[in-house]
Amino acid sequence: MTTATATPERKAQLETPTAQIWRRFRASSPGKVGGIIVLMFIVLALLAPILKPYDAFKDRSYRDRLTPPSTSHIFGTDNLGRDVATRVLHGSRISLQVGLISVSLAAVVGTLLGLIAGFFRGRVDAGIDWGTNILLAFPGTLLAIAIVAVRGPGLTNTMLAISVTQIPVYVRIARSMVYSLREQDFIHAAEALGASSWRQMLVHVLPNGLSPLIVQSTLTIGTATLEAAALGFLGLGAQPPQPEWGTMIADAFQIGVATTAPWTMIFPGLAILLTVLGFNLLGDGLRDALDPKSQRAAK
Amino acid sequence: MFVYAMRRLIAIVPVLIGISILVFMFIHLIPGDAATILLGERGTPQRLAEVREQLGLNKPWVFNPEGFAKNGVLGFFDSQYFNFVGKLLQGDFGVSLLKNIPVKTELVQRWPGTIELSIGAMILSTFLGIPIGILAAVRRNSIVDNLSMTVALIGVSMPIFWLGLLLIYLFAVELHWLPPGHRLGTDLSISFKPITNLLVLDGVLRGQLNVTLQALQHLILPSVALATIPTAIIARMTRSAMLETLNQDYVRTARAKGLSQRTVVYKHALRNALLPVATVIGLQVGALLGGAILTETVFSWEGIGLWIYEGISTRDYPIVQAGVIFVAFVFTLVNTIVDISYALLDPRIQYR
Repeated sequence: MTTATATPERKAQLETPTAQIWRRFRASSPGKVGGIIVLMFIVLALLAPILKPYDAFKDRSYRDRLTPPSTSHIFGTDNLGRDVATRVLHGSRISLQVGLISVSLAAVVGTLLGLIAGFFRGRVDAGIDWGTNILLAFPGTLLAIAIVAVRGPGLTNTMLAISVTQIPVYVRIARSMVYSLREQDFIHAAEALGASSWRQMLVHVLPNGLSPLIVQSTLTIGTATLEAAALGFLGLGAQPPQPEWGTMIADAFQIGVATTAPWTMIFPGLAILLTVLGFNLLGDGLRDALDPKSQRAAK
Repeated sequence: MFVYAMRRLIAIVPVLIGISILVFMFIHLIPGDAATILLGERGTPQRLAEVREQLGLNKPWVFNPEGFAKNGVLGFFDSQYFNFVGKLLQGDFGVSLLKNIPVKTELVQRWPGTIELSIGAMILSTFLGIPIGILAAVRRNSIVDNLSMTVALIGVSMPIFWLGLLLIYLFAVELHWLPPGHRLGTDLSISFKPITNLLVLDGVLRGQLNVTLQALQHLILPSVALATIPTAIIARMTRSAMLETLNQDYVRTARAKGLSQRTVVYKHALRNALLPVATVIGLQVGALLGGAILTETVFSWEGIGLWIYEGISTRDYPIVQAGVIFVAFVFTLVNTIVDISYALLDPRIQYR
């Protein structure tokens, strides 16, 4: 899958493509930092059900409402006396779920549409392009808000709304990938051997254009996390008592304790910031490793 | 050039049609039509039928073959969708379900709030982002460069509603330096009669400088929150554009002639680097509209974003519909104008 990005002088080093990518990734400091943050985030999300000093949903203690951070509650407690740290920890599970599901959905649907547009051109291409332009005519957050407002608040609709807003990017990438590859000899060879359009698309074109898609997916997980939090904050995303980070901030904001008991709002926000930062850094690092040509332009 | 501009403008027509179809579909996917929402629990079947008749909800969705038999071609288009589009073209956005006033009245009142906030954010992000980008490029790989690019990266990853709350906590609640929200203090917002609803301007027009001053004070925190992401993007873009031009042969020639660093950076490199930067700035204008919903909600800023948010939470769908469609129109228009001006500014671009 890396043959397309390998340059002649790199080939001369007799390095396997995987080793080459790994070497370039390790040379990229944003990649390393991002990788560590993302890894930490995934480990915490997986361990959240085990690492629980308190229950994220049920453990309420009305005597300990809105207590500031202390040794027993390192991030303090919220207005129902729930442990903020536990809820932030469990929030990582929701965030990870939203990021992975909505981005996978957008990537699969968008890439397929883009491949189809690039392959069949003509009216199909024009139609898909029209649809893409309409989706791009809305600011992303606004489109997501509109979709959730129509379909009703909740986590499932949040994921759906976010993936719809992200489809256009993948359509564009996949379409330009087909345009750049379809006149290559190996595609013509496949066609001459009788490969169907679908086989050419999925077996020959797609694997050769994966790099930008992988980079884009990593970056859009960051965007998805931000948008899920924004919807949660507007009361349209995950609903209480689910410990979604944006919803937690909304709780504090609506009840009016966001500024009187700021720990209820600061820690979920930090978690959002750190997660998004991690995925953005990892995306930059993957770009350095997988797509070295674009890296040169940026540095 | 004129032909190119016209073609780009005409090309947005199908997109506008698409927006209207999408928004129309949205409204019809909501469970319960406007008549049910309007009447609520009181709706007897007979009353419901009357209201549906009034609102034209008993007409077919897209085409009306019965109308064709009665009134010919005009009757054929006597449907919910075409009536909706027809009213939109006349600037009629319908009537608010809860407040019973034309949606347009409120739209006209709220829009200047968002413009004022966006101008504030745009000024901040341009005047911060460009110098930071230049500095980072000129002192490439120095501490200044690394630090500012790290901050910029944090900036693009920032949940701005959270940043807004932090700013309120720090500067309004703890330090009492700035007001925590709204466009004016309670005393002035009752007594002051705005003209354009751009309050900073209105204070000057009415000769009440205290209004201008107070409006500016209220503008600072929301502008900072809204400007965060654009500032970071502009700084990154300026840096990479400057690095590219600083490596060009003509810059080396200018240096070889013995020109000062200052002249080379500002007269030779910057001018050519500004072109992509200008485009990014233009595109951020559109992006601000998305961020405005969050910022306005946090700061209770009476603009179009808060208006949409209120419309959603009170299920006042004509407001949501008008707000979404209006923002999408403006967004599309701004982005097209940016595209056209890019072609205007850059003589190397071939426009056909």
